[in-house]
Amino acid sequence: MSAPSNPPRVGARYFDGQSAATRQVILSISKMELAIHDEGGLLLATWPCADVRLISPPGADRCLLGLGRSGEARLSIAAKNLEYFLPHLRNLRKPEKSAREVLVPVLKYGALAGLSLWLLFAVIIPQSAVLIAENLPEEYENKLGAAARDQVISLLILMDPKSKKKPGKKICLGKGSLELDLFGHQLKTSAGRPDAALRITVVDVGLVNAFALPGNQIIVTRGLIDQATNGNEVAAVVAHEIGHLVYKHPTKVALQQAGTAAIAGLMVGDVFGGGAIAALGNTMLSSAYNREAEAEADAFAIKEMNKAGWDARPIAGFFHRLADMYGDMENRFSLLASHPLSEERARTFLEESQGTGLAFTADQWRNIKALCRASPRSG
Amino acid sequence: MPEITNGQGGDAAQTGFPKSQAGSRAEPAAQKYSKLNFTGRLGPLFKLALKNAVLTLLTLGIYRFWAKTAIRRYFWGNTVIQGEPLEYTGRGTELLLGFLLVVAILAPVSLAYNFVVTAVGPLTTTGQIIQGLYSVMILCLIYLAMFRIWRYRLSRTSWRGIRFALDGEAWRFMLLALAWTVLTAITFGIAYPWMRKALWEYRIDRTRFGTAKFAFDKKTSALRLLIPWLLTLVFPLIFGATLGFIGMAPGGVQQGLGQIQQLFSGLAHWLFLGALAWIVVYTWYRLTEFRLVVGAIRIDGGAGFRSSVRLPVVIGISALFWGTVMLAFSVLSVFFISMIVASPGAGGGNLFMIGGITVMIVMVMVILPMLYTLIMQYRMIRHIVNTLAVSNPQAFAAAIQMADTGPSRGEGLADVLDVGAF
Repeated sequence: MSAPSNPPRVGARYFDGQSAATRQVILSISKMELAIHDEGGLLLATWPCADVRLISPPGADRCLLGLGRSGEARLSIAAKNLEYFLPHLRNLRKPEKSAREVLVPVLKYGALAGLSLWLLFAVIIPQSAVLIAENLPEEYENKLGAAARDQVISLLILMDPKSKKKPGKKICLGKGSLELDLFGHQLKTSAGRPDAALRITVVDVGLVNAFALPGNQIIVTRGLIDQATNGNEVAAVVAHEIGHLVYKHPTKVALQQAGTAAIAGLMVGDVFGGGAIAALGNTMLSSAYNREAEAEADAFAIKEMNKAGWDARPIAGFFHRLADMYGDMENRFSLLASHPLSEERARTFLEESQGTGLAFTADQWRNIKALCRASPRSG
Repeated sequence: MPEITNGQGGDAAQTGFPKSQAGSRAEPAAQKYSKLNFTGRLGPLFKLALKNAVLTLLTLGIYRFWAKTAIRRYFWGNTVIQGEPLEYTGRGTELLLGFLLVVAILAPVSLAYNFVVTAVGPLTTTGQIIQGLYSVMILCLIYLAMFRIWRYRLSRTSWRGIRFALDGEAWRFMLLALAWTVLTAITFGIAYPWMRKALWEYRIDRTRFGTAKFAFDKKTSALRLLIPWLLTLVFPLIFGATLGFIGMAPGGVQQGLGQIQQLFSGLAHWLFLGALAWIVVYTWYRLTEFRLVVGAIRIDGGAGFRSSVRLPVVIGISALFWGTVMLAFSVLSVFFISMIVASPGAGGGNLFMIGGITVMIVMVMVILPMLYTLIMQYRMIRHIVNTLAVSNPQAFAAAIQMADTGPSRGEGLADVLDVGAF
C-alpha cells in the first residue's frame, strides 16, 4: 500500500493499547479521518476526526491523543506537530461526558448526602441522645457529671480575671452550702424524685450564672448570690436548674453535642471527634437550651415552688435588674446569655406563681450570702 | 507541500526495540541509566491552581476531588520517561464517590463511639478501653488506606497506553503493618526503617506495569537508613530528657514548671534552631529512604530505577515555600491594616473582625494552596523527576495490557483519614 497523499503528513508514535511496544508512524488527515500508517506504509488504524481527544494536560510538550475516553490506543505527538491537525480535530478538548452527565450523578449523590446529613442532625442524633440519656445508668451519668463539673469550674476560674486565689480554694464550703443542699433536696423530694444525690457547688467567681450538669450536679456562682437581694431569687434559679436535671437536659445536650461533633469531625478529617469530649465543659457553659427545655424547667420551678408555698416571682425582677446593670457589656457566659428571659417567660413567672412564702429563713439566707466569705475548708 | 516527520528529532530514535534485549533479567547496575524528564511549565499550572482554589472555595471544598484530579493530570502528563509522558486517567467523580462511601460507613461507627465515650465518661477505665480500641481501629483503617491509595493511583496511571496495577490484599498489608508497628514500639522506634522497607517491599512486589511485574530487590538492606534514623530519634530524646530532668527537680511540679518557663524564654532561639536542625535531619532520613526504595525496584526484563535526589535542593524548596507563605501573610496583613487606617471614620471592632476573617479565608483557602502547588509541589516534583533515572528501559516494551481496570472508586478512606500527600 502506498503512503497516503493527503498533506500534511506528520511523524508520531503509536501505542495500540495492547502492548507497550512503540511504533513509529506517519499521520495523515482528511476531513473525516486521521489515518495512521507505519513506516512501511501499512495502514494501522483510522480514527474518525470527531472522536479524537487530547489526553495531555494543557501546556504539555508531548501530547497524547486517544480515540474517545475509553479507547486504550494512544498517539504520542509533539505539541508543535499537533498544530497541523488542529483545523480538522475540532473535538480535541471536548469532554467525553457532557457537563450534564457529570453534574447529574454529583447532584444526585450530593442530594442524598445532604438528606442523610439533615436526617442525622435533625432526627437521629437528637433522638438517640434523648434515648441514651433516659436509659443511662446513674453511675455513668454521675461520672460524666463529675468530669463536666471539674471542667466547668476550671473554665469559670479561667474567665474570672479579678480572682487571684488558687484554683483549689475556689469552691465555697461555708455553712450556707448545707442550706442550699437542704433546699434542693426538699424540692426534689416534693417532686417525687428523692432518690438522686443532688450536689450544689458554689464557685467563688464574680460572673453571674448557674448551670445544671449531668449526674445531678448544679453549679452556682458567687456572683449570682451577691447580686440577689432576696433569697427567693436564688431559690427560683436553683429550682429552675433542678428542673433541667429532672428532665435530664444536660445529659441530652452533652450527648447531642458529642454526636454532632462525631459527624462534623468526619467531614473535616478529625475521625476521633475528640473535640466534643474535650470541650464538654465549654459546651455546658455556653450553650443555651432550646426554648422547650427552658419552658419545661420553668414549669417545674413554678410548680414545685407553688407546692411549697414559696414565691417565685422575684426571679423576673432579678433578670430585669441584671439586664439593666449589664445591658451593654453582655458576656456570653452570663446568666442572661444562657437563659435568655423573654417577656413571655417573665410573664409566666409573674402570672403562674402562687406562693408568697420565703424559701430561706433570714438566718439561712445570711449563711448563703456569706458562703464564700467564710474561710473555706482546705481541700 | 512539505512532509513533516520527526518534528522533535526524537520520534525516529524511539522506534521498535529489538525483542532480544527485553528477554533476560540483567542487573540494572551494569546498565546505562537514562534520565526521566519533567517538562511542566509554571504558566499552565498557575491557571490550573487558580481555578482549583477559587472553585474549591466557592463550592465549600467539594471541588477538591476535581482539583486533585486536574493537578495529577498535569504532573503525570509532564513526567516523561523515554520520551513518553505518563497519563493519569482518574476522574473527580470517582474520588467523590469514594469519599461519600467511606463517610457513609464511618458515620454510624464514629457516632456510636462518641455517644458511648460521652455516656461512659472519657476518663473511666471503660472509657479508656473504648478509646484505645477505637484508636487501634483507626490505625487499621490508616494502613488500609495506605494500601488502597497506592492501588487506586497505579490503576489510574498508564504509560505507552499500558495501565499499572497493584495486586495483593489490603488486609494482609494491614496485618503486616500492625505487626511492624508493635515491633517498632517494642524497640522504641529503632525498627522503623525496617518497617518502612517491609511495607514498600510488600507494595512494590505486587505492582505491575501491564504484565511486567515489579519486584523489590531482596539484597537491599535497611541498615543504610539506621544512622539518619537514629539521629532523627535522638533530637526529641535529648529534648524530652531535658524536660523530664527539670520536671523532676526538687521542689515538685510547680517549681519544675517555673523552671521550664524560664528555660523556654532563655533558650527560645536554641529551641527554634534545634527544631530546624531536626527537620533537616528528618528530611535527610526521608530522602535516604526514598533513594533506597527507588533503587531497589526491579522490573521484569531487567529494568531498574535510581534516584539522586539532593538534600540541599529539597531543604531549599521547603525554605522558599515557607518564606513565601510568611511574606504573603505579612503583605496581606499590612494591606489590610492600612485599609483600616485609611478608611474614614473607621475603627469599629466589627469592621476589623470582618476584615480579619476575610484575610484569613482568602489566605487559607486561595493563596496557601496556590503557593503550595506552585512552589512546593511543582519544584519538588520537578526535582524528584529530573533526578530519577531508569536502566534498561527496553524491558518495558515487552509489557502487555491486562484486562483488570482497577477499583471503580478511589481514596475515600485516605481522604477521610488525611493519608497521602496529594
